[in-house]
Amino acid sequence: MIEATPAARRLAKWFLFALALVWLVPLAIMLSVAFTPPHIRISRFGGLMMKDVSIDNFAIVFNDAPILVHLLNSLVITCTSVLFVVLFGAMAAYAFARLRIPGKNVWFFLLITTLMLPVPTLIVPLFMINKTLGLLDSYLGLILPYTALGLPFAIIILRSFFEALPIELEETARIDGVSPARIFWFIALPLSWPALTVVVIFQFMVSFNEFVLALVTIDTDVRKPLSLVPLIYSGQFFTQPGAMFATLTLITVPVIVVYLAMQKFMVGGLTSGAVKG
Amino acid sequence: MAELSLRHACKKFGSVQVIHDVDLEVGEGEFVVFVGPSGCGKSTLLRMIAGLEGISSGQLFIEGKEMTRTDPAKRHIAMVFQSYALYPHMSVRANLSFAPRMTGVSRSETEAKVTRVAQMLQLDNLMNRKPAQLSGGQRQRVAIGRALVRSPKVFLFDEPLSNLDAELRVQMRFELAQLHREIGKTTIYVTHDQVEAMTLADRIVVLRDGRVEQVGTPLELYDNPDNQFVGGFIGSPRMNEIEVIVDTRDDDSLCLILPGGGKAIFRLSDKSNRTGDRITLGVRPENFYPASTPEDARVSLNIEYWEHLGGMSLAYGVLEGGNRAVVQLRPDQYKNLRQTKSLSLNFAIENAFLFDSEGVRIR
Repeated sequence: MIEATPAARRLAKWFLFALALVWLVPLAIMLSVAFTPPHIRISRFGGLMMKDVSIDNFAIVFNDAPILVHLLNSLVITCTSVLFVVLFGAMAAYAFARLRIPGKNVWFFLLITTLMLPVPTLIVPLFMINKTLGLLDSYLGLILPYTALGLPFAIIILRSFFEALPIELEETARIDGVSPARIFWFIALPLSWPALTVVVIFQFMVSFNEFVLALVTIDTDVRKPLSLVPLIYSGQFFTQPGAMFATLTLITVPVIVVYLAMQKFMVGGLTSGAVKG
Repeated sequence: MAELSLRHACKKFGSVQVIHDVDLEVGEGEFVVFVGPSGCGKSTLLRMIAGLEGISSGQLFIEGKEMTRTDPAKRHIAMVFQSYALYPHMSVRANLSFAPRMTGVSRSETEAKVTRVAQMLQLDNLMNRKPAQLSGGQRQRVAIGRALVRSPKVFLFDEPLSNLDAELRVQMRFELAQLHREIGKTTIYVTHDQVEAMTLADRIVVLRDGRVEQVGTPLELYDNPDNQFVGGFIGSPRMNEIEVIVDTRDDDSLCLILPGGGKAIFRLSDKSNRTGDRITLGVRPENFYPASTPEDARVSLNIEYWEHLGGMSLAYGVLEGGNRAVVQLRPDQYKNLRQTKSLSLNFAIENAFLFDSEGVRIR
């Protein structure tokens, strides 16, 4: 590998630092407006220059909108789809990685092609399917499509991870009389935490933030997930940008919490000590 | 009755045949070592016995029962891998008890077995550690322990010491030999290290290109190799292979022209070689000795460098005629020769081998 010179490395560091700052601007504006007292007008730098800090906007949101109900809706839909994606994705990926299935590469290629379709093109077909199955305006109407859309990515990530696990671990267990299902459950799955974590975070983020399909699928206000809240209450909060941004802040919290909770599992090296490197 | 036998076992990967018609009988409690160079098929043969690779044609019997197509779990075998293959997320105790627990052995019985094996292998103090917290030798002991816990009929070892450093390898080799004496189970052991093979084996199976070249006790193979390959492979340093020319032949002897023009007469009833044929003379390094007089000398070695190992010294060089050779000398022999650039050597004819142009031993 060619080593970068110290000067180039310093330059790259500053460049990335500047880029990260630019990236953080919208987030900073969201937080600063959300924490600005409601009676202060947002004027300079989109509210970045804060004069005072308060949590009144959050009080308004919690008083005026059933945020916790929407949060619960989001969590039910998201967590169920994450569970399905991890469970079915891991099983399918393990089969792709380890079983001798005729034509498995064709199936795998088909899976990859589904990733190439932009999600908006799927909205109308998914709506029609939901309508036919009677799933409109129900949690399942979102859980099943989110699971289906999340599976290809999960399978691709997990397959390569399973393939990289030392095969001797499974062969030892096989000789010792452990059934394939138990090998998967007790050996392959626990060793795949880093990859599973990536899948969990990604699926959680995508499902939690998904907007368009939720919009066309869920009709009843009390069943709507958190991602639709800004839209539902846009009229109500139209004159209160602070409350609107407080809502947006609240929407981002669960994703950040999940990320922070899961990221410690993402560090690799779980298989260290399994086989001599 | 043989504990394990292979009959005409073959293995094909697609159109490539990697194991050719292997016949082998392994007796109860025997320690058999498969040895051969990289790619000779020794690990594949072991995996065929384990059931991790299918047997393309032929049969496998364990304790008289045919197991050719039997699931690995039902062959009553345990295998130790080169890479240890310990479950990294489990403690030593969990590693040892995993298989019994998964196969329905009661908790108390599992506990008793694990404790016994842990004591036998001195793992008692390491039971709560994870594999990453163990040294190479300790990991290998856990891997062996995991095999022992299952009380298998046959133990399979796939190059278990290759990942250890030289000193630890010698120690583990000793421990393995002791363990085998203690438990007396049938063991098949794969290695590319012929020293390991010689020191551990009751019998050695030498493989080349998927074929069994010779089966025998370590000393049988050393003293009576069937062919040039086995002669060269068994023994360290390697046997010297010297190209010689048939000079004359009569009914019971063969006169050979050695490199440099010296002659040697071998008693030999084989009559397939004629004057002028090129054959190979095999002389082990320790069977050369410095000639006491110029008339006594058969060959001359131009020394390139010495290796002093304390108990012996090795002289590496080129013989007159171009063959490379190595000669092993005792310290007292070396003492008088340290300034020598060229060695006049003789060898004991009765300890030398002759191989024909195909590499088959003719004497």
